[in-house]
Amino acid sequence: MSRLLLAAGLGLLLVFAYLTAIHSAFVLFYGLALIGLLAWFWARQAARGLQVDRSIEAGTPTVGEAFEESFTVSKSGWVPAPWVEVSDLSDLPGYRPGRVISLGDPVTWNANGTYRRRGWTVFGPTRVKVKEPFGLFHREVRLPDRHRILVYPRIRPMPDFVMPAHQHSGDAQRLASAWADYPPETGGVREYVDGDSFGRVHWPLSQRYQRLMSKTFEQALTSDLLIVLDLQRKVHYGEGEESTLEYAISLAASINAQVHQQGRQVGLVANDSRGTVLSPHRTVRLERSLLEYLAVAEADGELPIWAPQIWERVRRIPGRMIALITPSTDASWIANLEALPGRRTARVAFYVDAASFGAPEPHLTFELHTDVELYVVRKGDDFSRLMRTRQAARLVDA
Amino acid sequence: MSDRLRRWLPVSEIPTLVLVLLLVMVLANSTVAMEWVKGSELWVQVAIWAALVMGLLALVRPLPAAVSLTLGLVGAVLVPYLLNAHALVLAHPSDPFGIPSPDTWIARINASDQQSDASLFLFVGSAAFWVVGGWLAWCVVRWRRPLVGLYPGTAILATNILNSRDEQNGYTLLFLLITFALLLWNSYRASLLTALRSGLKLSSDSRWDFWETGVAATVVVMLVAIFLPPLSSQDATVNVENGVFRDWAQFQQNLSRQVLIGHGGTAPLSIGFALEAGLAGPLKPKGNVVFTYSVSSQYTGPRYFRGVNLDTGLRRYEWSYIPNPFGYQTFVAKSEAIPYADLALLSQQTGTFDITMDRPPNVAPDVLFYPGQLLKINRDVTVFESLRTSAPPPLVNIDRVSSTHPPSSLGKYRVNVQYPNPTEAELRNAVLGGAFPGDLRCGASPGRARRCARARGRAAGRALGPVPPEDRDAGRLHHAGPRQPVRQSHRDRDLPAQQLQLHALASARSSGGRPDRLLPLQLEGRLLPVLRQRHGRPASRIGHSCPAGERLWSRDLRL
Repeated sequence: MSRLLLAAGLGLLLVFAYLTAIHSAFVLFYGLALIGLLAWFWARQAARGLQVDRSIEAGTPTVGEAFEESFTVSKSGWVPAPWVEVSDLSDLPGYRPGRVISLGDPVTWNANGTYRRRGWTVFGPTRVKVKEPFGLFHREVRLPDRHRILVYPRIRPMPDFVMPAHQHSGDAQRLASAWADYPPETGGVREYVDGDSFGRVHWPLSQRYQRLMSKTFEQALTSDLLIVLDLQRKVHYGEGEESTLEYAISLAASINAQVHQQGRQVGLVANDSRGTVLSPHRTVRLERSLLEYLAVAEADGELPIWAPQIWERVRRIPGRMIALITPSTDASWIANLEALPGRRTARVAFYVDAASFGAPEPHLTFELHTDVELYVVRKGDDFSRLMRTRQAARLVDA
Repeated sequence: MSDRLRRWLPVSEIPTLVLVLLLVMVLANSTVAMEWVKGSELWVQVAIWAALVMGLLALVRPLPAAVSLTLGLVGAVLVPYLLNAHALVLAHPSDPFGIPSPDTWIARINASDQQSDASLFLFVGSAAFWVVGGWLAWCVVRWRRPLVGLYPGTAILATNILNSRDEQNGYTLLFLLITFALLLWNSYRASLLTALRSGLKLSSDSRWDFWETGVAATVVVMLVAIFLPPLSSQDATVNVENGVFRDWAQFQQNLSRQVLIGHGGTAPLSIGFALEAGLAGPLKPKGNVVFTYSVSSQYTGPRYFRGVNLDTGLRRYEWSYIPNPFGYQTFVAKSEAIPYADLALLSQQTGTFDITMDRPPNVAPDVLFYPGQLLKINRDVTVFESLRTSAPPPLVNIDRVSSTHPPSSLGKYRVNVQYPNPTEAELRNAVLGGAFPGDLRCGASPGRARRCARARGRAAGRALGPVPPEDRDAGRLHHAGPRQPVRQSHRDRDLPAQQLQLHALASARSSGGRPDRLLPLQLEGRLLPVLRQRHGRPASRIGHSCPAGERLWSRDLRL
């Protein structure tokens, strides 16, 4: 509107200057008209042939991991662009890679950031605003190119996480570092390697081949882990990373990583809106699949964690250790956990204390079976420390 | 300075405010230089205060815009009134607070009556400059939209420029320079704040490149603007006036004819007569007879018909009729002698004109036209002498004769006039004491007479009066027949000269043994305003050699 007024005013001034032939009037008209024309032309030409290249190493990022993105801005026109604003329109929290540059030759810079949210992270689109110095006109170019990167949940170290004592015969503490060495089923034989214990030597075959042969073992299903994750909408509390949902998912991802690192399989049952079940498989490693699910998982379920449908799914995957993660203050899930059949099924419960995230203080009463290990996770807790001090963290001891 | 104070009053905006103040000062001083009204220096202070007040209001962020703008509007009324209250009350003692009614205001503004009511124009001008300064400061400092803020000021500057010749050159350049600087600075500040607010970091050379290219562009634009030749070199306002405005006026005239009270009829009006000489120029003949006249056979005087006298009271270089409401005016009954103060100082010739006005001027339908010096008229008239306010009769100069009964010049009337008829020697000895200016020459030769006739033709300008080509050699300024129709005159077609040298003409008929008689050189007031003295000297005037109100110019005149 103001430019239209400017044009109209200049038109009037030109008419009167022409009629009166007053030199000052022409100077005024020339000056204002030239500055307007120059600004208009400048903004248009400076934005011509503009190109922005963005590149980033994707990898398998997790929340909290740093990244570096590279920007290169160039143009093909000959008109200099003294003020070019390059802005990233993605919604990454805390990531401001934009620059104000002066564009003649190509300009390159790197921007560093940190993944602060799991799920799909979009880099782009990019907005480039070219301004001429007088601020009368500007050109804005929106480059729609986007990079999508899946960010996995934050994985925290859990070095002391071990199975409950009765999962293995003997002293759990002593066997903690070698629990995978004693699977119940033999899978094959190989030549003896220095360091193999005598218990692994297959004596009949050693006699036949006249050299020591050691047994190899397959992972037993009973040593695998099934995570039961509570994704009911109404039990979670908090926003962003400091929420019970993120803690629960991060906990699940950390357990998944640790257990897979130990060579065992992990499955998952969740009470989200889709009723997700990821059964552990003997030959297919579900580590990546489970992480991908956890990356996009949302607390959108309606069923409570103690609902029979949930535990029916759990029972269909027998003989596994159960790790329940929930912020639910309804202690009915304790009963479900204890009611699981099989003496070899160990049960661990991670209770994410919503009160520490600002939720109203619940009145909890847990009556735990001796087979159920309970851990309480509070806001700001270090998972590794949590494991070491599980006795102290126990909320209610049966 | 504490962070809180910085947040309330951003110190970094002070350069912006300084640029605004400079721009406002240029605009106000540009207007003061035009001398629109006496005492207009006040407008500079008003504009500066407005820019300061509104700039500070704009800087104090916690104040909502609506509150600040309301305060500014209140200031636009209060401050100009307080500054002009004394003059307003003195000028309008009967009006409450010295402020006349709106219809009076509008009438005076339309009549450009600056000198007779300077307080009113000072008040209006003060309010205007409060708005100009305040609006610019607000738009630049708070809204960061200097283009919007510049409109009122630019309009005022353009008006000044278009009504000037050379006085505005410096102000124009200063205005452009400061405007460009303001645009640059404002753009830089706005871009910087936007970038910081958006989390954009500035590269190391972006600041430098911005100012480098901006200043270079400013210099180039300024140079081009100064040295680019104008698109036109001849004043064409007159052509437009003739072509467009005049047609429009003629159209309006034809649509609405004035109703004359007391006559019960309507009369068309003519448009070739004006009370001021602003952007005026040549008129094209339309063929409509304005008035006709017949003259007694003994009359040898000039046949230029005077309507009103123009003067330079309003502005130094512009002429206009000054309708001073406090001027001297007297009623003269039908056929009574005009009470002159010094009529008998010199013996003059007399003559009688019978005039039939067919189309009174639209701007002054009551003005009676007559040549020479008026002695009697067969109508009830009111005689005006604008620049005298308290002197008792008799008259010295007649600036205007208005028909009182009837209230229009339409119709027939008879005037008795007298005119001087001195010889050149009489003029030299009696008027100027022998120091006759060198460039005021008597021209008796046909060539000189032609030049003079041309010059006179130009001088006639838009006045009412014919220039019969057959009379050029006759040396008479007018040689109309007994019932010579006087048409709406037009500017002479050949008007190339920048200097106008006037010649008194010797009557070809007056030779033959007798000494040449100098015809008093008369320039119709309608033309004089567009002439400007080269050296700014006042026009020399030959007292009673010319009839009252007529000037004899002895210096080079420049269009």
